Amino acid sequence: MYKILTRRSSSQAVPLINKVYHEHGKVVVFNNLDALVGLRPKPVRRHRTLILLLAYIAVSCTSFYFVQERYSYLGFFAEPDRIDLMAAIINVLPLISLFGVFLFGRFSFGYCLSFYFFTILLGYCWIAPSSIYGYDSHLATLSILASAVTFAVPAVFLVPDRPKFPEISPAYFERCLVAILIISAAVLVAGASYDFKLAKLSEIYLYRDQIDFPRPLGYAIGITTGALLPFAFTCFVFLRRWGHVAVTTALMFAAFPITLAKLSLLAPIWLTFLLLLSRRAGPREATILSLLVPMLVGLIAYALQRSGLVPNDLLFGTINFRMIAVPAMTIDIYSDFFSRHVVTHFCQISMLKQLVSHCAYAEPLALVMAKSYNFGVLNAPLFATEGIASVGPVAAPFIAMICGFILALANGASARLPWRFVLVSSGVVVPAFLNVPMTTMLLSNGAATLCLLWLLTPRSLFAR
Amino acid sequence: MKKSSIGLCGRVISILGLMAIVLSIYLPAALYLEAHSVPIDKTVLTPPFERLAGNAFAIYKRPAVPPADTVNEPRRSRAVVFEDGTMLGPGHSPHSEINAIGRGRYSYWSEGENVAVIVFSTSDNSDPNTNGKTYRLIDPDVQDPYKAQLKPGSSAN
Repeated sequence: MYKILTRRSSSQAVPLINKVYHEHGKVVVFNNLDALVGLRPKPVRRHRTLILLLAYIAVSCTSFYFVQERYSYLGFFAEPDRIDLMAAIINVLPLISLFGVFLFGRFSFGYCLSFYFFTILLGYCWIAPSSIYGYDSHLATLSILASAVTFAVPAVFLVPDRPKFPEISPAYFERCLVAILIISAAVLVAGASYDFKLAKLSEIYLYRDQIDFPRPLGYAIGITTGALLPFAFTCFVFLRRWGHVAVTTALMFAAFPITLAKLSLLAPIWLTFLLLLSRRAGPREATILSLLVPMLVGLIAYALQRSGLVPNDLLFGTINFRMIAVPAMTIDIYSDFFSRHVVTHFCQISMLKQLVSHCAYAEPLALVMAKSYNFGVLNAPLFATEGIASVGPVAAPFIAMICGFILALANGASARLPWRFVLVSSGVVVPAFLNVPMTTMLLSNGAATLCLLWLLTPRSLFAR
Repeated sequence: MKKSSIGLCGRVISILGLMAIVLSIYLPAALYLEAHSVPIDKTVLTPPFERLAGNAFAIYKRPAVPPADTVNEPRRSRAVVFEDGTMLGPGHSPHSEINAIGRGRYSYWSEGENVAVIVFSTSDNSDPNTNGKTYRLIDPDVQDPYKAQLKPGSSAN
């Protein structure tokens, strides 16, 4: 099938090695192996992606239905009847048309993040028609639909090239990775001196509100767990430094008793899952499967629990409810609150709050929601916070578009890195985006730091 | 390198053009919906009401209100049922009394993790599905902690 030819050009002193690929009787000449690999039969891959996307949408909607049924007793969802089910199906149809973005877009950080956001916006469109709150869900749904488009299109299709500057050497970079481990360990030790509690998963909510780190330390812990450790983990795996991988994993687990965040505990398992997935699937398929597989596992666990084969629905509650449905629910709650209350004009952002003389809300938005809805501290993604809360539903798509363009810069920072490296190293940051405003994610949860690390990563590291 | 920069500029312009089209379609529709938005009164109990037995009717689907009565705390709920603006009662009534006597007796009840249910009877023991009256569930204790930030014309409920 492949022939390697050597061709001498009169103008070139060095022989140019070309590879020839016969496809449907045509001969195509390539100068490098990457391009040759890129000439896999695309229709088959698109076909696979399309089937996966359709399966994903079906599983997501099934998951949202059962979450509503299971958790309606909490008083935040209505228990769905047949009319609600029909209304939900009709309401998600316009958003489903956005799946073309994920079918034709190329993998990037923005692609991955947009796909995760697509899932929670799908969840919002599912619950909006049967929302128990009194706001106008038609306007909110239209706003979310427009926001999904204005965010995803620049975030997926705009991939600027990495700025050109002298690269650090791979040997020096490896020393920097060790320095990252030392800094991370120091941050965690400092965090442990303020708070260290070995709590069960079911008890973390009792203690988490009591954690009060000094602000700089809180930022440092967020950046360490969100960016530094996952980045170091991925680099060491790619460099096959298994001893360092073990140390990084231990540090990630050590963050759990300090932060009491489930994501800290699950991070090493989640990153390993992404790594294994990316070995078996292509970039788009791996992104889709990274949510499809856990959601399916949750649904199977729920079915087993309902048939009495397992004692509890911990997996369904953690994945399908907490990880996927709660961010969708926060958009419902923020939409209700800001349909009756004045918007913030971005003064919820700490830095702006200090500059603005009068801010309508003295507390962080998560606390405002906690007081108003008795559901605990409710942080929310950018669509609810920078969007609905800051400017209201009508102007929210404009803000989503700006966020999409900002995220496109992250695509530039990670340009020319292997897609598997981007997927795994952003493995903690991407799910965190579903629950946290974008400004917080960038500054205190490590997203901006991760972009800087991607920018500085020598591309020659992966050529070895 | 130059070719790549031109490509990026072209792509940014194309995306901005597409965004302009999307937003120019979206904006008039959103402004129209905002101008004509009618907030739903979430205290209203919307039919159908399920007939349980005798004079008792039930509705499971209702807006979120504070906790309902339970076996351990049978008088916990502060929620009140109104019929066309007139308060019904007595609340916390046993379901057997609502069935047998009716006359506005009601109970707001939850059991374990089940959805809280409002079991009630109408003031004249007529069928609430057909009598043309409006029923509301109101919690008099509801206080909006952000009352000062309410938009003009908005209410806490």
